[in-house]
Amino acid sequence: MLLFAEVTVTHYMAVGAVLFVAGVVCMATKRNALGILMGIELVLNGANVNFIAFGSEYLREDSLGLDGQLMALFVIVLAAAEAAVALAIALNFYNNYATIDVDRADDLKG
Amino acid sequence: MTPVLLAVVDWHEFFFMLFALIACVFALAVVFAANIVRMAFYLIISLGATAGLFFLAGAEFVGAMQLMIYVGGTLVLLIFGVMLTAQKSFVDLKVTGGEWVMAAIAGGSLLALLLYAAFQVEDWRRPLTAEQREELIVADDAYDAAHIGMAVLGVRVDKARQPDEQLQKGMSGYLLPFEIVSVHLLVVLIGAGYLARTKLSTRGVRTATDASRGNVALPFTVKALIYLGAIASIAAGVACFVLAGSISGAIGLNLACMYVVGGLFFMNVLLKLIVLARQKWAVSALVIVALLQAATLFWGGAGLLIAIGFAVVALLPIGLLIFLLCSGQRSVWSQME
Repeated sequence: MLLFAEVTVTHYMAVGAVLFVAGVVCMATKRNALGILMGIELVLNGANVNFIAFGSEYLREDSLGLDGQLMALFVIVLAAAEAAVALAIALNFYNNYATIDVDRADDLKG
Repeated sequence: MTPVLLAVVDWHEFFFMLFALIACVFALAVVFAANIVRMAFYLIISLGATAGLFFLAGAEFVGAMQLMIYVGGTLVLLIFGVMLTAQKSFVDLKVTGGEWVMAAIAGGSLLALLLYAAFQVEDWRRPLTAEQREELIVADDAYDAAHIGMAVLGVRVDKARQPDEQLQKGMSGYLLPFEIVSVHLLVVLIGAGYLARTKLSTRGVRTATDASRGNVALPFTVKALIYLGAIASIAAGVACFVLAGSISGAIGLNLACMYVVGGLFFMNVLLKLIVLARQKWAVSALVIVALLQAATLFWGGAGLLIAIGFAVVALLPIGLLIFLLCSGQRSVWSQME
């Protein structure tokens, strides 16, 4: 059974998949704007786990090497930047509408 | 006994399973938690565990950056946001049942697709052979921060390690993305700082009030059941450790699995105490621990009948507890956290 075998890239990809899907479901279901932001962080981390797994020389002979790690590094930095902007938007929304519930953001609804 | 234990366990796999389980379980906890503050805390733990996974895969610099930037920066920012907007009515925004079903269908199918794809490629399922492992240990030129620093300045010092000529030509430096990301960060910080400035008009309430706690005391029957169960679990756990040899011999169980079952008995006691503190998640964790013990018995070689019998005996008092908690007009369950 794969559970008790040697750790391979597939194991890391499974973890990455679970994190990714958890983030997607979080983004889809949460009504709190900050909950949606947490979903975005989970999605990016799922992708990062995948990058690191393919760039790891301990898991594959012909790994991506440094490229995988650098990709993950850039993803981390960009995620931090995007979290800052998303938080500024969420706080603005809260200050103007006195609610953090995104279902209330229906001013443009027909 | 300890040196044997250190040699017998595959520590790489153990730590991978530990970090992977923590990351996945707490990521799912983020999805299923309703309280926004708890979601933030679970997210911190999940991302910390992924940093552990990065360290295991040999990406120490990225793991350290994950802990510093993500956990120590982005998530602290997120918690600031949560605290600024955590009014009583917004702390527990519930999701309707219909949405859960749709999300479960979409998420489940996406997860199935991704896992199927992950298991498809044979090349990814093959671990390193013994000779390749030997080479790794002998070579001793792992990627470290110096390589990453030079790469980000445009010089790929690991080019010499790539045997393939064509692949070597494709290994470029990362100077341009580095500069772009630096300017991007500057612009984002200025923009976010401008967006989130305090304005003169103060429409909207900004004070955060405490969520009022339901001060329901657990009824006597529930408390009695929990105390009795705790005493029984302590006795069972001690029996598992003290009489390990004779019991495992009697039912044909692996000795290590006996200790695992004993440890799980003690975790059972801890969870019961947490149920006394009126936490809802502890009740589901009790069920999971009982099932885990049954599974350990089965995989340890005790036989299907004993495992199922154990599961039934362990789940009966837990079922009784759940019934007592959920019964009644104003059930205790609805007032637990």
